[in-house]
Amino acid sequence: MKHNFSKYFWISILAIGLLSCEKSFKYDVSEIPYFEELAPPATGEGYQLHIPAFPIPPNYEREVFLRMSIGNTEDIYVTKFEALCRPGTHHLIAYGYKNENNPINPQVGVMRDQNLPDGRGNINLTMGSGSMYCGAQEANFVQQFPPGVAVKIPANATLDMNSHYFNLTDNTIFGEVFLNFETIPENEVTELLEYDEIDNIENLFLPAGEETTIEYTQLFSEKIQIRQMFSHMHKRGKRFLVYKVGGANDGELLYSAFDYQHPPYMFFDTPLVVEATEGIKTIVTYDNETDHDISFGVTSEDEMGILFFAKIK
Amino acid sequence: MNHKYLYIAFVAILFLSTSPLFGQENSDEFEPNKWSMQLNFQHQDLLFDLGFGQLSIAHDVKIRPFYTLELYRYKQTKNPNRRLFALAELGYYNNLYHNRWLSLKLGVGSEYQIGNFFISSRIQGGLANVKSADIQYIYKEGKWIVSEETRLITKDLLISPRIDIGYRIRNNNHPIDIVINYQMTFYFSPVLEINIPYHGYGVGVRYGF
Repeated sequence: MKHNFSKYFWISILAIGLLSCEKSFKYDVSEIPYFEELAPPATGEGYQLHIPAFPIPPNYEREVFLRMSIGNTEDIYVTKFEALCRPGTHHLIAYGYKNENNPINPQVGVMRDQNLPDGRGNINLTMGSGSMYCGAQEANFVQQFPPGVAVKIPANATLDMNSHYFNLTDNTIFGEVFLNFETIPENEVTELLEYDEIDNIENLFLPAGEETTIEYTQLFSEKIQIRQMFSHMHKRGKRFLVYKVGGANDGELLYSAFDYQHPPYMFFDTPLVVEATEGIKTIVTYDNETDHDISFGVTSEDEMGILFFAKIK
Repeated sequence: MNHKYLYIAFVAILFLSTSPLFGQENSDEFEPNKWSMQLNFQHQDLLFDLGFGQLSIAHDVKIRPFYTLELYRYKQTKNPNRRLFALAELGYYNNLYHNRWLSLKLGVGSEYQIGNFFISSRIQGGLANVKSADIQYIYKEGKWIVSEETRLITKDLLISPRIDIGYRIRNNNHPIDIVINYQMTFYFSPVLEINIPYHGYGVGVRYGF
């Protein structure tokens, strides 16, 4: 009896080991619906990055990262970003790399998932370590800067393309992303922009069944001039307000958004000046209708409250 | 399961197993062996839940197996119920979708006998050759396919306190014990921004010689 027990026990253990196999997302290319692609910029006028169609299983969400090489051998100055994504996109972000040669950077052309099939986050994931170049929250997105205003991308840059899709249907859908970079010559550039962010992550805690308003203030140690603002929150975010802190326009409402899926991209024709010691306050209201507390996180069931802004370099 | 009670039990057993008052009821029914080999299986997982609340789970992983083969060398103390040991442990961990590692650890510990039961505590340290196991894809011939060779490989440091409780099922010159154990592993990676400890519950069979 003991002998049999021991045998079956170790057979079970062996089976557990052998059956512990990962399941990848399999799909048939012929099932991918037709999608009108975005034409790339004309030769000499820009570049295009394209993430080919990838599957999102039913009632699942995928947030993928793909490090891609733009192909620019010299610095480029982007005056227009245009993105086209298949339906279902939550966001598309193009991050740069601070150090292109860091050994922990992922290899170019390798798609990595933020959310793993076992329902956990990917703690092995390393993502673009530099600032954001472009952030799109709609399937059809155009960011056209005024003449002479551009974002600089260094020569031989790679970008970490971050695409997040929700699939709330019972069928597999496909994500696909095109991002065009339309450039101007360096001698036409009059103003360079770079993106930064104000994130309420430290204060973001939403008790179950309550409406909660989170205030977060960031003071600046040096003068900045802001050209653009846009907010990012998830589905329980109901209102995103931004106020000036300090100075002559203390308390002025600078920005408001009431739809997490379609936040406005506000461009300041006259740059918003924030002097040293002055700041920006975000006041974000959430409605947590669930029976569990919610805090900051990357999935559709978590929350965020980020103000992205473009400042003059 | 409420982990708080496990930690309390873990700390209490570690404390008791180092106390000279513990295990005074000696049994002289068998001659202690000087060597033993243990085959062990644990379900090992991160100490903290990393479920971020995504829409659904595609593959609910219940078991994250950690197999070890352990070699022990014992030294009897003046207390006939207590012996010290040194060990070497070769391990393989399959943490599905996160990482897989092959580890080699060395450790020391002490063991108390109470009749046919024994309890031991140890501290082990070593290195693991860790390969990330998140599924990665490359685009080839018009399709995204799984890529094995792009996964990151690192050499990470492991430090693991562990307690074992065992029962002798065969008592002769080659005794056989069945063992249950609990282990924490502090994990130090040169790459990861967050090094979350692991813990695991296990069972094993030990053969003395």
